[in-house]
Amino acid sequence: MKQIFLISSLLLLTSGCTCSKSSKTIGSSQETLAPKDSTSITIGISQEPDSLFQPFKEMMASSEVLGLGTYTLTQYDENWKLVPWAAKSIPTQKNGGLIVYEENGQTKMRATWQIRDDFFWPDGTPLTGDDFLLSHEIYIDPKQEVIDRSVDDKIEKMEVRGENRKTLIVTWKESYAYYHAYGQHGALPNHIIRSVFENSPQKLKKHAFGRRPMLAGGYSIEEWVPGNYVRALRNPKTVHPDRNPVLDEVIFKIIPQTNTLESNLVSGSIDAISPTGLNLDQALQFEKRYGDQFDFHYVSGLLWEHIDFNLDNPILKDLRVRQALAHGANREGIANALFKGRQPVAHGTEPPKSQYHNDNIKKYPYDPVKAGKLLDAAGWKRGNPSAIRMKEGEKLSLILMTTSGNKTREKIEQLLQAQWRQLGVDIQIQNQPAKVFFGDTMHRRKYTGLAMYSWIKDPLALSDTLWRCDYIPSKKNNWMGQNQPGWCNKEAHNILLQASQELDDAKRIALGKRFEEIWAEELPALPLYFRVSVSVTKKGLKNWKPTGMSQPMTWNAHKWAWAGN
Amino acid sequence: MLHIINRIFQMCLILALLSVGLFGLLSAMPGNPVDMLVTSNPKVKPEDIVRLKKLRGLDKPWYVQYVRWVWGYNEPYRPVEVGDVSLASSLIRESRTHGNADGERGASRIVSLKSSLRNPNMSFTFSEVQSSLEKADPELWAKLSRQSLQQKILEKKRVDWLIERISQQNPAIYEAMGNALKKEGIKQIKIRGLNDVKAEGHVLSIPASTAGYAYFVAENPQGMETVGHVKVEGSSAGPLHVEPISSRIVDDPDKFKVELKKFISLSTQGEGGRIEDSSDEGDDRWLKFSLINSPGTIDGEGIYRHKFDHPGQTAIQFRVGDGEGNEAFAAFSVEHGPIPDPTRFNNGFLHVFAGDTAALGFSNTYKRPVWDLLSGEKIICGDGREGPGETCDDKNALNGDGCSNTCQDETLGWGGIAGAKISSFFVGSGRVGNTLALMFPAILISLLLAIPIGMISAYRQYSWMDYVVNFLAFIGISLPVFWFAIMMMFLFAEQLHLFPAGGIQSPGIYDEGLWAVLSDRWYHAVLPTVVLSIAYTGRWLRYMRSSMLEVLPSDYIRTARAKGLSEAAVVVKHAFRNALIPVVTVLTLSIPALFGGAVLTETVFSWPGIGRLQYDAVLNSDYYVAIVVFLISAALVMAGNLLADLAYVLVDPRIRKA
Repeated sequence: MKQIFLISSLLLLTSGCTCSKSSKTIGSSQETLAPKDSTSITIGISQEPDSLFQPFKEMMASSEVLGLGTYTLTQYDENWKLVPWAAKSIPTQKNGGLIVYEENGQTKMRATWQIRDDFFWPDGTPLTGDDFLLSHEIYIDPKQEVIDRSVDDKIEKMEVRGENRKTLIVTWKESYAYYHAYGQHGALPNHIIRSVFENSPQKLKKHAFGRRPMLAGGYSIEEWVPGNYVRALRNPKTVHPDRNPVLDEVIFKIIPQTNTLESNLVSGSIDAISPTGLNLDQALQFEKRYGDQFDFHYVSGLLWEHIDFNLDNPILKDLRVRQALAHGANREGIANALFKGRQPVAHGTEPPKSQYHNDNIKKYPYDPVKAGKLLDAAGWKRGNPSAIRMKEGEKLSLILMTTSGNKTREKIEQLLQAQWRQLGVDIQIQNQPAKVFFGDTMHRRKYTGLAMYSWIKDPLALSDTLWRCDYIPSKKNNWMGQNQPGWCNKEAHNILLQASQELDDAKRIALGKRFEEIWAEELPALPLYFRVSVSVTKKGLKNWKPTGMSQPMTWNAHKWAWAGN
Repeated sequence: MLHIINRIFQMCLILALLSVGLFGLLSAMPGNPVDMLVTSNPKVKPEDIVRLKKLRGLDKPWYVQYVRWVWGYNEPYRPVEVGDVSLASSLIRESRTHGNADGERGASRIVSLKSSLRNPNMSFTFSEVQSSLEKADPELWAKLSRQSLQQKILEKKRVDWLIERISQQNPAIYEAMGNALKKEGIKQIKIRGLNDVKAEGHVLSIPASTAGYAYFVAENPQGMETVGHVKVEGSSAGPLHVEPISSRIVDDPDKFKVELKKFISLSTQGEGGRIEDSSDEGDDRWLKFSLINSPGTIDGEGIYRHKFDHPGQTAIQFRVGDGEGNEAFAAFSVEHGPIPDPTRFNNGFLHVFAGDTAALGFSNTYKRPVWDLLSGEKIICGDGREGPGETCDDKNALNGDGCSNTCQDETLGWGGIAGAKISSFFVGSGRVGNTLALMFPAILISLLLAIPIGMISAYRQYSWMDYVVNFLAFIGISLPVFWFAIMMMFLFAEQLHLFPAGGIQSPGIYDEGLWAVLSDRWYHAVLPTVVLSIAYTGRWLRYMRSSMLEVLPSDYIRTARAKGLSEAAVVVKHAFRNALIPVVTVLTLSIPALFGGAVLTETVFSWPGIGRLQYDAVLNSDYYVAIVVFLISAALVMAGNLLADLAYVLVDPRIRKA
């Protein structure tokens, strides 16, 4: 019996040793912190891309992978500045590329883009205006399952001119301030996709191109093993000296679990964790353990965490109550306690890096005395210092909702509940799973008091669907818009209408700053903080410059290099 | 036998009921994936949601969706709400009106069409292009023939590539050929009349009552349609030119509205003068519209309204005047439907049994057919054949056509291709394959360990070995799998660097050949297999032990011993066989786990198996994936039960006799 036991336990315990000999070693202990191969990089992502077919993708992971072969007309750099990419320059009124004209009393505009001569598809075909035209045609085709057509809907027509088909003329139906961000829809290889689009448009979404697309930027997709990894290789036809990638290969490893992501980095199977991999909480924990071995990149982002006040609620309709809640919340303290000061408190709706950010707006520092006075003035009085405030026999009680299972939000909720309780405000927490919270409660505006969640902001545009009067979701407007608080301010509404058509940057920025002032004065929501995005890389990786916003961190992948490259 | 048929019938019935229930439950879950888009992307508008729901079939009540999913449906070939209105006259270059025939106003032969039916040359056969090129430029043809790559293309009869090469080498010839081919192309275009106009081949028969223009639909071989018209009386004015700007039929539950103002930008060629573009709101009040021989009304705002009571396509002809004597004619066509296209029947789930794998549906989360997700992807090679192991024209010739490296070069030879086939079986295996590759070894190892150890431990009850085994078994049972998995990874991957920290294979391993692929897969499978085996071994060992303990003191064991049988024969033949009966139940019931996978282990080890797929599918409301995997598991549970019953017959002679 002894023998059998020994054999079985040996079988169990030693199976590892035999395999390690017969297979190749992926990372031995000495080389943990050096890249496996100095011409390649492996990045861990927690999400699997859905489709790599530009018009049909929905996930951030897809954008990150596609960013490797960026060939859009323009893109944002790490300072959120729009720079020309596949275009020679950005057409403006000053350089004559943008013409604004009147046609039958309607302001229209025409932008002329010149496409660079040094962008090629990996098979050697040059990138032309036809490739952008095709992409636009797919976006506006009603038979295609394209989700966001908001920009393409504003385009009256798109034409390609010139002997080399390198001139792209975009005519806009209206004056549209963000015309130059048109780069968000990349080009598609006209010489391959056109025939599919025309012959069997219903098959386009299912076409194999979505699994192994051809990209005209620095890298092109070589292989995608579902659930496992996506591998991109250098585009052999890149000729532009500044866009020629340093590394030969970029691999995205799909690892859905945070612990596994970290283990992979520590064991050397991956060289970096993408910003979609870890949240701030996890990153801070990880940094505590391995802070000296890796570079941690904290970049302030466009995700605006806040608490909406439902202004249909008679209690919250009173500005003094909203201001009191803001003064009664120690947001500074919460940010320091939970985020080690990495995520500073927000005072308005625009992040500090935004051009519309305004520092001279009304702020609501933690001041419980002032908060108490505001509530007293609003008629909410308390009998003794520990009681809940009352007004005409009614208790000052509000329901606070958020997505259940989100630890950070739940912690903030508890802290706020305690702080507001000291003010004499009773907060009932009612959390819901994300599907119910967003799919039903917020979508149909069913929350009655406070709702904590976040919005991702556009780096260029003011968020008109969030604050315009006609975007208060209701049955009447078929639940259109995201003005969940139900805030309607005439001046703010007009500013938002005006800004999207204002082509003069200085004037538009002034409008944006004014909007921030009005917003802070009226406080339809309690701003909490702008989330930072965190990515982790092995030491020695150069030019890793995540933007923190919708532009994926792969935007400058061609410049990534290991020390010594 | 009857019993088995009866059981199978019951299984089918239960599965059918289960599928209705599951479908209803999944649809009732809040957070429809399309609705969620509004809350995640501020730019998505309600009309986008309506459009996407229609495209994905989510606009129907759940039971209709269910029937469509089970049986299938005729696909409406054009959604009702937005049909681009094509205005026709610019399509006609030349038309001749013939004299009166009996009761007919005239017959018109369509001689050429300026094509907005784009790219008709795509439908030409290879030999047509080849002969046309040979005639036009023999030198170029010879040159192309000499080049091996081109030769290869020609062998594969890739017309589009050939045309592309010609266009690069000699644009003038390309142009000339294009014109010649287009002339040929008109023959392939099908014409059908609209309203009362009848078409026979390319000749239209126009009834006497028709005034002004007769309308027809032209369709190219790819099924793209456009509307054309011919002028039937007088010929001096020539065809009218109407350029559509952006015109669409506005969705209205009862009526179809066409905003005429928006698409009138006309310049008449005849004497009628000029009517300015009226898309501007302010200046067009003076425009007067009147219908000619067409149903419906046009109001003062220039909106056309009519409620059509049958599906189809109707041409609407109207006159527009500016009040100063200038007049123009124009037309548009209205598609009223939706028009189910009998040729485009989308097969439902049941058609899977007839061999149509696409009938399993399409996953909107993974943007792949459900069948591909489960069984692995078919790789489409450059030459249109389906890999893996198939050959490609050129590895890099058409990057982006879905042809991956798994398409091998022909030079590999027979052995190489066979090797490639085996390794691509592993590389491209789907979720089912991945799960089997993990669960089968895990279950097998656990059985091989649990049964003998359980037996021995029961035989030597209360010995030190029994205590140790029990202790280890309890550890195996009570260790939370995810925690144990993380610990194993921490120890063997993070600290000792002996095994990879999850994943299923190393990137790019395919290029290194069959043995590299196999050993790489094995290397990745060790940690998750060990974790799963330990959990299963602990459980089964306890079953085996307690079952043995029940049997060993029985009378027949004593009898067997008394007969003088050897101890081995007593234990193996008499005790073990009887102890197996309850163990068989447990084993057969773990068959579904073989396919169902282990969510936690798969998640921790980034192993793309069924368990993780199912979890993600439910979270993302990916209905088709979720329900298919649910049904497979349910079917397996029932099949496992049936198998258990059959296995009893084998191991238990009492049942066999009964």
